[in-house]
Amino acid sequence: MGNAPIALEGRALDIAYAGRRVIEGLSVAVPAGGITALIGPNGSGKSTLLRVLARLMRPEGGEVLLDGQAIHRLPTRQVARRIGLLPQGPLAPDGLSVRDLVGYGRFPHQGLLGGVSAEDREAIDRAIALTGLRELQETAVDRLSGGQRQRAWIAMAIAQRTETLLLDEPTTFLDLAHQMEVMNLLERLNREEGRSIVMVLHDINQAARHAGHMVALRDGRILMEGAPEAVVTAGMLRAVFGIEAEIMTDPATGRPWCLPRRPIGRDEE
Amino acid sequence: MEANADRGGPAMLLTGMLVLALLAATNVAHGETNLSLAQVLSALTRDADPLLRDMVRDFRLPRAVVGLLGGAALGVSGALLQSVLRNPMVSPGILGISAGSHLFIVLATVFAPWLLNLAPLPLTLAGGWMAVAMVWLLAGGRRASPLRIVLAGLIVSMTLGGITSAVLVMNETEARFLLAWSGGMLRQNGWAGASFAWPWILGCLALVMLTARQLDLSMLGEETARALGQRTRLVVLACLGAVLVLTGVVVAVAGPIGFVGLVAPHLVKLAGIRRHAMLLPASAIWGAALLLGADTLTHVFGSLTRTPPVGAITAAIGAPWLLWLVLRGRRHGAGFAPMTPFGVRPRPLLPWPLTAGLLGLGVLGTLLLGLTVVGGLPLSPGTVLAALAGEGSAVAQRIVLEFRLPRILAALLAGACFAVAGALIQDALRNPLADASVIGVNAGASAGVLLLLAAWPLAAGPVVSAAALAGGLAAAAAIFGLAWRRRLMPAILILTGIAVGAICGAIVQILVLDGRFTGSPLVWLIGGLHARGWPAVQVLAPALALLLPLGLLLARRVEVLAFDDLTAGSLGLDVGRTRLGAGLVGVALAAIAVSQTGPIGYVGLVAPHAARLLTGHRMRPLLLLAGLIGAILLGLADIAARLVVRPAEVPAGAVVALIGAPYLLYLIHRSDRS
Repeated sequence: MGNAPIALEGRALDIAYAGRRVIEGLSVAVPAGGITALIGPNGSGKSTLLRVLARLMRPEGGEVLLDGQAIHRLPTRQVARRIGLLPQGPLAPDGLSVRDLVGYGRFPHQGLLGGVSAEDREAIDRAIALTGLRELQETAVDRLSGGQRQRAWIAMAIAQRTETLLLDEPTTFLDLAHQMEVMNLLERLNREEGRSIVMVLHDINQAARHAGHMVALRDGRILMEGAPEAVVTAGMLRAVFGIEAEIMTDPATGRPWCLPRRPIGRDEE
Repeated sequence: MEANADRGGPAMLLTGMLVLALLAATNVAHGETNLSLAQVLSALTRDADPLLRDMVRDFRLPRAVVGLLGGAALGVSGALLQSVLRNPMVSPGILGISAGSHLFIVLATVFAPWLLNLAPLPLTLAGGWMAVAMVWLLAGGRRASPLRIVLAGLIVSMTLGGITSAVLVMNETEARFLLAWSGGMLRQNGWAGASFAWPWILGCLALVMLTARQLDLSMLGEETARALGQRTRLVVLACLGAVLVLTGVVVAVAGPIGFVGLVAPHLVKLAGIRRHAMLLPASAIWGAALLLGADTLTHVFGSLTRTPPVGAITAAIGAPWLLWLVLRGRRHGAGFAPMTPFGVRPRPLLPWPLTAGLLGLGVLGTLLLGLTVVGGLPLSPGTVLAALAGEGSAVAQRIVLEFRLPRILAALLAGACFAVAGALIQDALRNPLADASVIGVNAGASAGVLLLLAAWPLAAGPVVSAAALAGGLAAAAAIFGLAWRRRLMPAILILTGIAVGAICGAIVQILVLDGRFTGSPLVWLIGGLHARGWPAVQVLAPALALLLPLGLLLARRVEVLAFDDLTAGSLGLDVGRTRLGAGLVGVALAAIAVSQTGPIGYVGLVAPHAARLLTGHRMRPLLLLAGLIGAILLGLADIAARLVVRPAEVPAGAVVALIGAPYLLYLIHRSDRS
């Protein structure tokens, strides 16, 4: 990553979740204008880290810096204008229309009285257009299919117009076509609007294909980080996921491609 | 592993039996006069002092036996419900089964005493079954979340309990004694109760033991149990049937007694017992010990003339327990369930100002109706308008301006307060079944009034109102204070509210027997607008004028609370502070309204849902429309309350419940179908 500008940085973070220390002394930097993927096995602390970076959880020690300022000392609203988070499986109230949902993305930009400005309207329209939801904007969110619903939530995050967007497993529970749709949308946001994107992904190949920077966590510590070619190695898969795997190169994209073979230490039993 | 899981079992059973034996001995020895153990034993011999013998044999022993059987029945019922519903917060009391059984007993006592003597059990079964069906519907059937079941049970309990009180009050029986009996009493006069109860209770307990292994399987979840070959529905129905019989028998001989069914199984589970073969008998033993212990305690609190109901003591012990359980538990579905109202439109039916205008006309109509048709002397609209303008006869002016106008205004304003409060609280707690009355504000206000009267029996109306306000706010402060450290998670707030409400209810039941209270202050406990005048309007109008704008100012933020906490937080909302703010505005509105009208439920529960059907999610129109609907609802209810049994009055709260409960059930039924 070298001396690339930094969008968001965590320093010496100690994080407890449900009374248990899950992350200790972790430092991480998110490159500005890039796509970063957090990978790691279940319980490695990925989602927790994401919440702390978005200021939704307070770390027990250390701090998260945004332009050199500690975000836990900034007002919630101010942070929400610069960092957006799409949680895993977010829930909307029944009967809310797509357009209303996307409109809530403007909440951090609106005053106490909540009037809708021309800029708000423009941001909402653009978010809906980008996600291809124009025909569905009056439909209730709970009536949408899984893929459409995920796009609606992403549209809300887009309308928030934050320079950094954090997503927790945005492709889980989607079929392959919808997964690709979502990833392409995120790449487009990154490319055309220069937003920094950080996402937790379960699928290593998906991460390697779309991210420019990968961070591999295990037991609350970063075991490896860097470009996909440097991170997705047989050694990393052994250390982080505990599997033996073969690494190939995807001829179309030039990115690494992993073929899992067997879990370590379990096949002999 | 399996052996380890229940290692504490035999020890728990043994200690339980020891404690139980001790408590039973103490229980028999205590009462109006305290006896030594030697006296008790001598009473059982053939040549005992006849007085002593009669006292022990015909009063003390049957009371202890009923306590033993009843406690065991409740303990096992609680354990069964908790396992079958996989919900640690339920018990026959919380699900309204006790209240339903009790209502039917009271109805029979009043209207058909012969039926009661003929067949008490079918009556209590019908009542209990009705309560279960209502809870099932209210909670949303198969989709019911554990928390929603608890809330639905609470609402059903409050409704059925309210109807029970209304029936009792309208029959002009001695309200004080009946209020006490509604708290449950073990007092026996001979062996009739015990000999009716024992075959049923012991029979059910024996049958239930046969399901122990099935229940172990049920704990894995319905799908898994079915995959393992269990006929899950049969198990649920069998256990529910047993619970209904057990609870019904207990209610028939001792009245509704809460919290034993909740606490006893938890005590046992704390000892690490999970397997039902051990859990069920241990729950029975500890349930019996709890009830006998509580009954012995009633004699510490009371004297011959005013022994508090044993249910008040079990609540006083059990509610703090519930509180502890809630605050220490880690998993309550956290803050992750969104608001699921019963039907909303993505787009409003009419533009909301138009709807508001129409509803405003409705309020005016209600006002006019309240000025013309009620009371001993019907007045024509013309006479009323003239009187309002300061013309016409002096009598008509006096009736309109001094009696009818302030009363209907008070009803309209209080209705609006309850409704706006309900809308704010539902959205703040993100729960469609939440309301000030559900989270303990009404009970707190009642406790405040009785504590005042205990200190100052002759307190005048305004002081009583002030005490009610203080009680309601104190209860709310306790709830929010206790839940603050758990980041005001909605489930925690609601359950804390239920526990605090139960503690306040216990205070009311213990104090209401105090012989010094007379007449009108007790009427306050029933709720309604009887004899409310300008002073009430002078409190309600400024309160609404001040707090409604505050609510409107918060409205946009409260709207965002409808999402899950993470989403709301990532949108830049300070979730904790917003929830606190909206909750406090709502609680203040409700507490002020309660201080003027006495406890009235349902307006705050129903009016916001009706408004949601008209406007959708937007909070500002929602608050306004809910306020208008609430005003019309309570206004019409008060008018109806005075017309139905002229010249007497039904409490307006009971009328609201009679309209509100079916409407709420209809809304939920409709939304579940879609």
